[in-house]
Amino acid sequence: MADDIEERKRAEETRSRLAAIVESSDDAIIEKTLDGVITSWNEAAERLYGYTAEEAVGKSISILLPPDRRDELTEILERVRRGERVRHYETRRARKDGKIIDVSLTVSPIRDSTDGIMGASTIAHDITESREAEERYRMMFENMGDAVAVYQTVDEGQDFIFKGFNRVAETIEKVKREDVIDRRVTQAFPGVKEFGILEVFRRVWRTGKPEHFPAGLYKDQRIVGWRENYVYRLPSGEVVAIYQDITERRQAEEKLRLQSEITENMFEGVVLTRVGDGAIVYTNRRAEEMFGVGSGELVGKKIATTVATSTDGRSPKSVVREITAILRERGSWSGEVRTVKKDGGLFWCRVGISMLQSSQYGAVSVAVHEDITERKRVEDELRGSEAKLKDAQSLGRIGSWEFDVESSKIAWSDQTYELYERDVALGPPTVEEEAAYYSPEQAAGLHEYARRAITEGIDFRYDLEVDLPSGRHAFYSGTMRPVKNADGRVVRLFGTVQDITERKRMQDELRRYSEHLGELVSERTVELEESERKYRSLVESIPDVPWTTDQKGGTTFISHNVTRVYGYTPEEIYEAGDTVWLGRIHPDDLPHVQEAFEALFTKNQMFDVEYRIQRKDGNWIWLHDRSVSTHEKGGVRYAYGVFSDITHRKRTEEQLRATRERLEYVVASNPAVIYTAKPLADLSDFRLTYVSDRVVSMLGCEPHEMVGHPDFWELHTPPEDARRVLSQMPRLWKEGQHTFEYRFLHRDGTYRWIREEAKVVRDADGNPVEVNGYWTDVTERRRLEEALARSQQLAAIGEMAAMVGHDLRNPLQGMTSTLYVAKQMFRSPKATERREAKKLLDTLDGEIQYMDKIVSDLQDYAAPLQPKLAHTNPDELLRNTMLSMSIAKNVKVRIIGKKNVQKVELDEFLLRRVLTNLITNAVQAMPKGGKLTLETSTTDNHLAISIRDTGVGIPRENLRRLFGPFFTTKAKGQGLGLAVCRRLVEAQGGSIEVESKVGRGSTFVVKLPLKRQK
Amino acid sequence: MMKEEKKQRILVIDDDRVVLNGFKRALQLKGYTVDTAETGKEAIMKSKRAFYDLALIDIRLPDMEGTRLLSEMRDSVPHMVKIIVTGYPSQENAVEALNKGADAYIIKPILNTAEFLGAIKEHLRKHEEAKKYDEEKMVEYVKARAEEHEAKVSSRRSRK
Repeated sequence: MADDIEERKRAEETRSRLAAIVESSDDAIIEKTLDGVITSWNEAAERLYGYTAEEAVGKSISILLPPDRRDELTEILERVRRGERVRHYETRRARKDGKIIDVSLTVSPIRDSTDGIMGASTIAHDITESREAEERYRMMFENMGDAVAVYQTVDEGQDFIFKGFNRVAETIEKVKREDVIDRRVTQAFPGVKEFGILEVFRRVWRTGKPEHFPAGLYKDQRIVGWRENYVYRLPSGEVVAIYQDITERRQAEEKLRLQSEITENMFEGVVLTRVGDGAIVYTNRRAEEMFGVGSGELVGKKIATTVATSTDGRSPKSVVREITAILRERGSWSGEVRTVKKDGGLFWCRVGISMLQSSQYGAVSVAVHEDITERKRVEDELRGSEAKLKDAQSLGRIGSWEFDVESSKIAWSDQTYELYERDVALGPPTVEEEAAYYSPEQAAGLHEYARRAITEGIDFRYDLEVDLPSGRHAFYSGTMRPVKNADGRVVRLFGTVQDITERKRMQDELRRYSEHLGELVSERTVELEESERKYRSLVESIPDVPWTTDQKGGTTFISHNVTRVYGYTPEEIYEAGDTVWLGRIHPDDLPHVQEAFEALFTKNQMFDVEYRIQRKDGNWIWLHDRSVSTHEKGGVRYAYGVFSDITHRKRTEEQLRATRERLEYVVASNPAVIYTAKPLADLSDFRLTYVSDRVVSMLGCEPHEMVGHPDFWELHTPPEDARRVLSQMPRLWKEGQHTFEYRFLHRDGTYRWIREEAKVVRDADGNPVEVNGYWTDVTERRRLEEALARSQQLAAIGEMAAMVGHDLRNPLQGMTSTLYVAKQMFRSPKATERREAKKLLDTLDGEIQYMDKIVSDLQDYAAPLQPKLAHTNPDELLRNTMLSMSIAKNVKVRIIGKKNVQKVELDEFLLRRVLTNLITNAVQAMPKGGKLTLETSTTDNHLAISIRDTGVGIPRENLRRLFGPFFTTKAKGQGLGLAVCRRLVEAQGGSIEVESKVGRGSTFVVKLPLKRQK
Repeated sequence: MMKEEKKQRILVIDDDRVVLNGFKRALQLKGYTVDTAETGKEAIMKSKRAFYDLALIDIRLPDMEGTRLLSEMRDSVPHMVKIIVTGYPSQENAVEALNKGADAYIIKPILNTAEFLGAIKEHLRKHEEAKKYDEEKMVEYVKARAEEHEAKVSSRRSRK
């Protein structure tokens, strides 16, 4: 008895505690009637939906339904009416202010003391935010093309430990997440200090101000690459670096810059050699052609052992050393060198070499090779011809002659006779004879020369074409010089004659060669023009703008596409000097641009800046401007550079940063743990690839523990829960999303209930490639639900125990008393009394049967049912049932049924119990007698067995609760009979219905399906 | 055991005939005269018409609670032993029953009938004794008063 009171007290306390929890609950808790009228409304409901309790109570719940969800209410209420619970039903609801929100509803029936359902309680949980957060986060992750690293600060900001590392980061850095997580950044990336970002991390950690760490070259023994970082601090104090690998962009820029370098030098073959070790680091296509090697074949080889050779017997190494020395001293070298091809052939190059500071290779020499083999060959040949001429001259085939003016006599030297093929014995020729050697015009010309030489005293030099008696046509060169006497009168003429046929031939040849040379030169010029044109069009078609400026910032060259970007034409820029460049830069950016520009000239430091500049039309744009080196030309130093319009990128970056920041906050402040996972190949499970840091506060374990150890989850989940979750996997893959609920062992040793929402990401073929989801801790909710269910269960058990107790006690009481009397009477010496005792014992049968019925009903109601279906004739079954029952004499029984009714699949044993029950009820409803009609009939789909009485009937208000458990109007009996009937019929796939009128009688109809779906 | 002339009368009140018959048979076996009632109303009516030494009252009756029947019968038949029989044992029931004048509280089912009958007998005996004791006290008191009176009268006489 004391226990009983304690139990009640506890129940009472539980009840008041539950009431307090309801009011203070963060989840909206609403109670409503089965018609949907709100009867209770807590504070959280007011917060969630905007209606106050005064506004809401008494109204229909439909005020919360958005237009497209009107039908839901009927459906939910229908389920509640059937006694079902609607759990974690996710839907949308309208707030008072019209806003639509995502909610998760759990709707439970509220039962009255007699266990009828009088209403429903709804627990609503706002999931809008977690939905959106999840969606955003998923988008972020899926679309994030940038590397993300999350660090925890240690040693007062001296170092940082990796807490997160995304997939893009893994790809860029060529490391596995597991290999960096929990390691110090200075260990995982030893070059980080030199890189300079450690300082930025510290600053951001201290100030919380996000910083952009501009492009820089990260280098350690394992990995080298250009990185551009954005660094943030999370509210949790962790530092996040979002960064990109811009190595490729850098390399592209480098190449572009080299190309402009090359154009300036009017290059042909280009070879870049690292000054430090003389290794070739780059050759262009033309150079490869020249040297007869394949693409990239020379890269990494030493210049001295490949292409260099010498002309004067010195070793190629010493030539290289000598040139390097000059380069170091003067910055450039040029000359003609003999170069060796891969196949061993030698050729001549004119080479211009200059020094260059490359960000990629360090100090390099750029050698521009012009193949001058052809020119050299022509020159060589020419030299050979000249030598021959010299030989001819030295042979001295020169004749001479004298003419005496007074006597008009001519005298020839022997050599002259030889030249003219005239026999010395014949003596000098006459004028006519001499004229025969020449053409008439030439003869006349010679005569004229002689006349003028005599009269005017002038020297003549001339060429002659001579037809020799042998028929040879020769070229002679002649001179004539007047010889004067003492008073200045010309008395003689002295002349020489020389065979110049050979020379003439040489000269012709030479001329022909020179003409050929001209052709070659013009051919080359065309080629060069063509390549220049090609290059120019290339330059103009790229979006970046190459430029050349002097040290003062005055532009001397700029690509035409500057106009598109900047508004000004190149001509306007040339004219205006630095005013259209430095003069239009944003004042905030100007100092660092100027500083960097100066450093380019003075310290040879790479110029790489981003700044705002005002366009001609007044709009501000962002430029990324870079230049690597300067050159001197004509005593002036120039810088070559290229800039690009990054306004769009900047804006995007700005937006991206803002978005990221917001998302990071959302992720960090989200009470849910977000994860991503990869499905296993056999789809039996998935493996976590990312778990958000929230897991630390939720489950006490670190994200890396969950991600790093495939068994971690299973080891921390009770086996039955793990089995259940894994058994639901096929549904996840099939439906694309699934909600799991299971327990997980917190580090503190307690189990937490986790609600896991998993979503499948599929590839184009529909195969699952990833799972995204989140966990929420629903322990408290589960606890409340369980407490509620337990108290409901206890109440139900208590109620039932009381009923059954009472009902069993009475027959028991009767039996005990009777047995006692019987025992006493058996001891009696009178035979009549002993006979009487036997009769008494017989009366006990009834009590035993009654008690058996109570126990059977309870079992039927509570125990699981497994009907054994067999083809049975329902008519026969009905008749057999009737035969086994004793019916009161004042009741007339009539059985209506077709003779050849078809056999129906049913469980004979169960159906017999149902019919017995219903018939007993019918008889009991007619205490004063009446008619009992039993009828079997079939429709297309159903077998119907009806039991009709003409008894007292059932009041309308009781009809609804008739089939519920523990409902009874009888003084005796626990009210399980009809509940059991319904259960037994439904277990066979059928249904049970009732029609009744008070004072007229009732009809119960059992319907069973004729055709069963397999 | 019981003398014919002193046959005691017992009223059993329960809505279940099975219980009524069981009790009736057992009590009759012990020589009591037994009457039964199935409702509270019937019980009140019977207790007014005849005298019963003892009543066994089921706590739950179709027309009224057993405790209500108790209080009504306390007024009409104060000298009857009243025993509440219940299948719903609870402390509240017991306290209420005793407060309303029950002499005992018995929980159904009574599995040991001999003990139950013994208890009935004991209750009746105690009741008889109490009644007897009361009568003796009364006699003593009257005697004492009478003697006192006697003494006063004689002393007054002696003064005169």
